[in-house]
Amino acid sequence: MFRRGSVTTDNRIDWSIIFCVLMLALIGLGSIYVAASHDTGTTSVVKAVVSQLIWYAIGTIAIVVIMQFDSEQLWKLVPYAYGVGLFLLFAVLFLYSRSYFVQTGAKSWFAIGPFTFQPSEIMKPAYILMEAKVITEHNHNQPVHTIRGDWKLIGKLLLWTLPIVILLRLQNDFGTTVVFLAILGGLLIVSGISWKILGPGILLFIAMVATAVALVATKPGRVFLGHLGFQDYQFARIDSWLHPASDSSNQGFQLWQSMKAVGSGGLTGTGFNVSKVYVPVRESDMIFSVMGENFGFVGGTLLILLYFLLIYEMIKVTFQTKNVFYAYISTGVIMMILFHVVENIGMSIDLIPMTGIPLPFISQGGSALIGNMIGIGLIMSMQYHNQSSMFSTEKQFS
Amino acid sequence: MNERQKIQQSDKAAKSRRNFGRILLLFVVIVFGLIIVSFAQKAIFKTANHVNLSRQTQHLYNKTSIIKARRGSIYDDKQQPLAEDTNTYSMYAVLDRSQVTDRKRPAYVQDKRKTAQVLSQNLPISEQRAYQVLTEHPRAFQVEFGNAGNNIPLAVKQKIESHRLPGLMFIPQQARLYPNGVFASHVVGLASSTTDPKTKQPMLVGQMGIEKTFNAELTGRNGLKKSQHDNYGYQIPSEKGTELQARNGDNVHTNINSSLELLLENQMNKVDAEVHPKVLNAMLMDAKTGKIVAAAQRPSFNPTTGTGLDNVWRDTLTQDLYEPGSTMKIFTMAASIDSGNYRGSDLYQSGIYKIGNQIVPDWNRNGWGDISYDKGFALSSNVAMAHLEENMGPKTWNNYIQRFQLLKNNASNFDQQPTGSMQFQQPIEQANTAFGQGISVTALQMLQGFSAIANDGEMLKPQMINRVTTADNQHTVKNYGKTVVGHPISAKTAAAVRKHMEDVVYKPYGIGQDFQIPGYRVAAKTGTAQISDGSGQYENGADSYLYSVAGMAPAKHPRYVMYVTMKQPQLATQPATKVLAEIFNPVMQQALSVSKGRPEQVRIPNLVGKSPMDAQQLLNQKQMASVVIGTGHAITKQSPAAAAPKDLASRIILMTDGPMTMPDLNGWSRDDLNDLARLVNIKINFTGDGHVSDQSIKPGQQFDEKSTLDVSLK
Repeated sequence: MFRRGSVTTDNRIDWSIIFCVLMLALIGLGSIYVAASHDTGTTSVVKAVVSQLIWYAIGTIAIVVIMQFDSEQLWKLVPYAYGVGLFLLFAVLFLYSRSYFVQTGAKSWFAIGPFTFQPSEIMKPAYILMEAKVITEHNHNQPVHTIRGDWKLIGKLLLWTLPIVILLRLQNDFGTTVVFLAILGGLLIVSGISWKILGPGILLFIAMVATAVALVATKPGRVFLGHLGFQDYQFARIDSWLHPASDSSNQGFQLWQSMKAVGSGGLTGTGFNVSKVYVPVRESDMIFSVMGENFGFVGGTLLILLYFLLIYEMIKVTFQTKNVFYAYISTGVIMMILFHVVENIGMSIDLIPMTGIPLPFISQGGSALIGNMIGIGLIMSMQYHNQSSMFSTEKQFS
Repeated sequence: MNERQKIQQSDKAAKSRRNFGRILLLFVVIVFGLIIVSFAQKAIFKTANHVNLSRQTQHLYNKTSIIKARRGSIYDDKQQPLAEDTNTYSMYAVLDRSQVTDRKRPAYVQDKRKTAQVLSQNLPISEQRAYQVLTEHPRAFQVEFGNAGNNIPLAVKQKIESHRLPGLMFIPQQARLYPNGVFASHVVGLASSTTDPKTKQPMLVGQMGIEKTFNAELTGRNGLKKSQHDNYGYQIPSEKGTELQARNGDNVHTNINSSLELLLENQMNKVDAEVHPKVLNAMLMDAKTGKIVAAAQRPSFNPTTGTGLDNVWRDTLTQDLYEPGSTMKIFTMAASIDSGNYRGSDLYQSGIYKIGNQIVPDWNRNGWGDISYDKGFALSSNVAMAHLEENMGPKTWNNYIQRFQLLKNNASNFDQQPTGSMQFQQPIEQANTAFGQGISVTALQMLQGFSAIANDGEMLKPQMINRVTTADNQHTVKNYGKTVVGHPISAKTAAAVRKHMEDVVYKPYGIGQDFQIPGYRVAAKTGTAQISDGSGQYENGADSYLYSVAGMAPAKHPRYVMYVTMKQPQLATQPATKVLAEIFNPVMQQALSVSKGRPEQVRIPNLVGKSPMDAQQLLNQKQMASVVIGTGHAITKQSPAAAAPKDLASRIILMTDGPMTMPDLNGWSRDDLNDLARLVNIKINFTGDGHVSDQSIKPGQQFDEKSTLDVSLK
């Protein structure tokens, strides 16, 4: 059938994704409420919840706006989005919030009045778009993959990644860099690059990770890494991951408290808003501990399953799309959200070393939420404009 | 490239995407599965890296804290503390602005005005002064408040904390308080803070005296408290915590009678200041029970301040061996009478007696001619004793020495008790022991021996301790009642010996007339012993003697036995007996008057902690004169101490915190001035005799511990 004639708005909107995001938003608001009402920090409970609500509203508007763009419009938007994102990443090096820098050691936040904003979060969807465009263009121009062509593609993809990595290095934000690399990894696999390159590449990557761990775990290794520019706090994070109980530093304390919170939650949790374990920054990075403590293993697992559902739905959309540009975009978005979820929950339960990465749709913080919402917007736009584009190959299958 | 190839390619790409989708899904399933497993491990099985998480969690909100067992108190006979624990705090204020709590709240003093105000309301410090301390060194990390910030009671700490002022920090001090200062110090002993090797917490350990010998009983056992805390470490009141009760240390009740002890200490101070003896010992014992109701020695120390600790670590009452000298003659007489060898009216040639090529000299080598043995005893004739010893024979005499247990360890409540020894081979040596030379004993052994004389032949163990009770004083753990250790002589002999001791005091030729106490009949024996220099030779010179007096009263039925020894006085202002009488007479007299059932004297109340105004009002009601030194809000010291009899001092000196101001000393006696000097720790130079007519620091003028006060007496 050539072009569905009776496409209703209903079918064009992926309600299961909306359901997932809505559920996550509700869980997020609840968790922030719990965190804020137990931690008499600087902001009031109402202020914390309301400002998060405002961010959800802004995020929803972002989704609606992005859904209006079809792939051709997105295609044209890519250079601007990437350019603006890169400019913001550059600007933040000079205009970073001093107080956040003191607290976190990273120069990644703008602070305008009471609002703070992390440009790297907005950079993520822009980066995804750019890399998707690069792959699409490359594959369009060289439909037949050759090893040589593949290397060229890898070179192009790395070229667009490099400025971000450099800027993030200057910002001293390692965690976000890893997110970009995860996105890149996903796109590399999906881009059609030969497994002759990917296979050894993955093995090399695993070997490098193993070497890195070995380096970090030994003293001369650390000296070596120190020369490469790694900071003490990064070693500390590895330390607290390897030996959470023995580390009494801030990092270890945070992790250990998080695990205690999860431990005290047990199977079914302590109940909503019943918290006995104080976990530092649980309103953002450590928010999984709230879920784990209040609703226990059952609640936490449901949350994980909710993420699984969301990712499954997104993968399904990727399956169904006939538009390769979209497919690459959704792959990037999936990698982004997946990596955030895995890293955040993983670090909360000491599965993975700590990085300052928020839990998508749940952690307090506007810019991360907007970044993820834009990602969702891109996926929804895919469903919304699933009919035609210049790259659509639907014709051939109909 | 043709269309078909393109289609194939994109078909291939779509396929590879689909493959990737499947792989990705599989990857997600695996990773999420891994997360869920790891999550389950933490949430359900509660272990992380083999560390039990649930125990860790328990640790978190079940905070375990050690409940310190309270070290038991040492009491006097009326359950007034001689040593007790105080739980006090010292305070400092953090000024450094980088100090913040976990929650980024300030942990430094923010509102200095308000803080100064709160401190001035709760501590003996003025608001201006507190504010000055907080502001004078703006770059200091932290500041302290001197005396005002030390020894803060728990209640005051809680009051200050209720204002929730950031930056004020309290450190607990477990302190041992000896409320009376120099007060039977060697008997009570000293406990000092050391680190418990197990808990790494400071704990008090007895170093000497009762504090040491009863350390195990006094220490008790620390408890554990597991209490539930919320996020901020505040205890959750509704949640029940488990608790292993601390068992507070037992209390040791001594037989010390504080008012007698105070008087004794006071008289000891006087004599100490007057003649500077190397050692001065005095003990007062209840003749009917063996209770030691007062014991003091010089040099001594102040257990609270540590003053004097360097000088004498040894308990001279129980650990010093010495040759007792003529007080030994009491036992010689007792042995001679009891063995039936004594014929008091027989005459002998006094002066010098030759044994072999050695001589036994009387203190007056010219002698008193041919005198009776009765008179010889009253005159403290060595020759008489040598004859008595010869008459009964060394075997009998030695037997009596053993019966009086003079060379036996008798004081089980004290450690490192030497037993003493004697030279008893040659006749001259045997004769020497009859007048207390060539035999070394402890003061406690002598006192025990005297109890047989006082208590009609029944020898009583001197008891420092009355009983040990549980911390609440409800149950007696161990009782130290009257303990009869022997019957060396008959009651008749004892009475006869006492009669002879009365002669020492009341016969016109008796050499102990200084010990007469109005209203009571005293039986006493003085002693002047040569001090061995340690190599068998006796020291020479004016200060080479040990002077002593052993006395009991009333002579017919003694109620108290008192024994005073004074070793090597450095200044001889008056005869030794007069000096000893300064201690013996007032203490014995007061002991007797109290025991006679006379109404107890009005006692000085405890005024420490009260405001000067309240204190003076209270004293006015009791018709006691007082003078306040200092300008602070609360009294920190008083002299004489609480519970002392009212007429011990002509006025009560009250000291407050804050700068000291000199009172008007016009008309004060030397004793009063000594009191003052001891209380405020200043040096006073006296000129003249009598009462103060002029003072170098004028009334109302401020002074401090480094000041020297010159006074003229008229």
